[in-house]
Amino acid sequence: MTTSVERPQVVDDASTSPAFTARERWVLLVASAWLVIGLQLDAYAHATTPELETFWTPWHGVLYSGIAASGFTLLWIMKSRLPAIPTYQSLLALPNALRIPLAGMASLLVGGGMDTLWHNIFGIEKNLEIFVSPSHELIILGMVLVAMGPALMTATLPGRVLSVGGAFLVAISALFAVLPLHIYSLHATALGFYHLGTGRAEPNVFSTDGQLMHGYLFSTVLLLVPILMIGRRWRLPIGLPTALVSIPALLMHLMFASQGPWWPHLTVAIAAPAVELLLRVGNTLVTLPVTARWITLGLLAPPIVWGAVLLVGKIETGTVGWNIHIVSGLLTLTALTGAGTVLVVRSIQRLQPE
Amino acid sequence: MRRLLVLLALVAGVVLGTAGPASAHAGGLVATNARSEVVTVTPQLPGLTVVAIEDGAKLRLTNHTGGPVTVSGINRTVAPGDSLTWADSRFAPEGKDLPAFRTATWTVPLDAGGTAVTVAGVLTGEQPPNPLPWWALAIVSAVAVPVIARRLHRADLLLAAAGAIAMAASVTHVLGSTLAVESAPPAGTFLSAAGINLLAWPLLLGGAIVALRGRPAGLLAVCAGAALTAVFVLPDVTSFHRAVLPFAGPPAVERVLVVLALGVGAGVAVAGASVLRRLAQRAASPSASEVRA
Repeated sequence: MTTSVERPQVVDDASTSPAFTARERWVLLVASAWLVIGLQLDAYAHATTPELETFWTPWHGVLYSGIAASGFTLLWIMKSRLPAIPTYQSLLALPNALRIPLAGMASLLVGGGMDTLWHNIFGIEKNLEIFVSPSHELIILGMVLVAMGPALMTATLPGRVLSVGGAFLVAISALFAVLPLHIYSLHATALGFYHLGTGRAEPNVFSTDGQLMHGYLFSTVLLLVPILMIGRRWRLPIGLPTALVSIPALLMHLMFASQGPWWPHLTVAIAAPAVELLLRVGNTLVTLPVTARWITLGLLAPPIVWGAVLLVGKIETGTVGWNIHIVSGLLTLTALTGAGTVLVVRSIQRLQPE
Repeated sequence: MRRLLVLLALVAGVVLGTAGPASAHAGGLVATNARSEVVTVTPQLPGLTVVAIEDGAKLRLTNHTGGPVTVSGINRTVAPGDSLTWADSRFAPEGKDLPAFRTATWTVPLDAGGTAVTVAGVLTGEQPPNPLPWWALAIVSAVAVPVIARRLHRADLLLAAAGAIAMAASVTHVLGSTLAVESAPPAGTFLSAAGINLLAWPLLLGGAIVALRGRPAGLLAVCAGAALTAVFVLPDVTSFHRAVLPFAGPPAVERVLVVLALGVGAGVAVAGASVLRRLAQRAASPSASEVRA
């Protein structure tokens, strides 16, 4: 999409403090990537190496140093933006692009402290509870907010066109912010294990079928939101929407379904550029108001991508596992969900100082 | 199903991975209300010893019998000349709801070169403390720091000193937790027990030094370090409620250390808001602040 917002947003968060430098943005990007990758590596080690009780693992090394790197980077960026005698008020008055990742670091640390207390009192969660316990939510929230930092800092710069470097930075920042959410929402995702219906003639409401239907809707929202947020601030660089859909899909396959067939995630990864190309060409052929163009994206992209998954599934396995009512209704619901997500995200207004 | 289990384990790892830095108790030890000990090894074989360590959280088997010894239940074989230390829900006090002064017996079967050996032990419940006085002390500490700071002209000195007390309590607490562990090397155990405190301690110490050198900005670091200290000692408030603590010293000392790290740490973080504001106001209008003082 090459659409633009009606009123270019002038972001002046940094009006009362020095503008964020390229070095600050890239250093925070590296530090937050270090944090998220460290967590993933450590998670993988805990999941695949039995009795990994020693502290001295390379994964712990990456994780601990990633937390420290993110924390010290935020302190470094904060230092020049505080008065000689800093107060709590001056901390709260920092630009959003800085205080949001700072809040994320606080959430990560408080969540970590709470988590051990939680485990000491109530034991270690093992199944669905891990997606829901409060301390885990704080930890995931913290990671997301820290990883958002570089994109938020880039958003304080004037202009509505991202440079190539800026596009990479924003894309990587958005990917690291959204990836923990894809992982944490595995209980309601279409990028996990299940992609097709169970084949039951009359699927139950509370069943794997029902869960997967919600997964298609939740994944629709989760994949669209970063594209819409970035598109609200900048003209979407070519390929960025594709990257924000294809890369999470491929990574989810590598992390969780590497023993399974490639076709579901690969279909998403291939359908995404096809949809982007279709909509960009459509934009040049059809003149529509900008909001209408975004709603068109919301209406078309989800049913095309998920429809492709169901179609390839039918070809690969001989059945989509659902009857015509479910397939048609599900694709309609994904279209409505996409359009609704567009309307909500496009309606978000920048907070004004009181 | 296997993939689902791997998935759940992987995601558990994602979130549990972050618990690593927060792991306040070293060696995976937690406060409990019971101790476990080995009573008999039947039949006694020359060269085979089994002892309980760390208040019975783990058993240590040493095999000098000349043949392999297999531990039933965990299916681990100990070669001649080797030893094995392991935790096992059959004998460990963790999670056992045993009333005070009651006992419960346990057994762990072994196979020593074809000979069936039974390790028998006993779990003994202990009387947990009354948690209310400890919580009251923590709350009083947390309230006292901001209250006293309001009455002092040099509240920055109080914050620096109180931060140093919280840090000293935290360091001693981590050292005591480390020394309670017999089954792991001390250096790694200390780092594991310290976790995020490795960030909090330099903030407290460095911030206090900078503040005492006349740069009030150091106080913000003291407040951040104190807040981290309070948050990361939270897992150990279980010591207020449980009898047997993973600490190399009297339980009362451990509880006092937790009170200081939690209460004083939280108090410094809270007091920091008004102290820093007053310092900034004084710097902005020294004469007015002198009048108010």
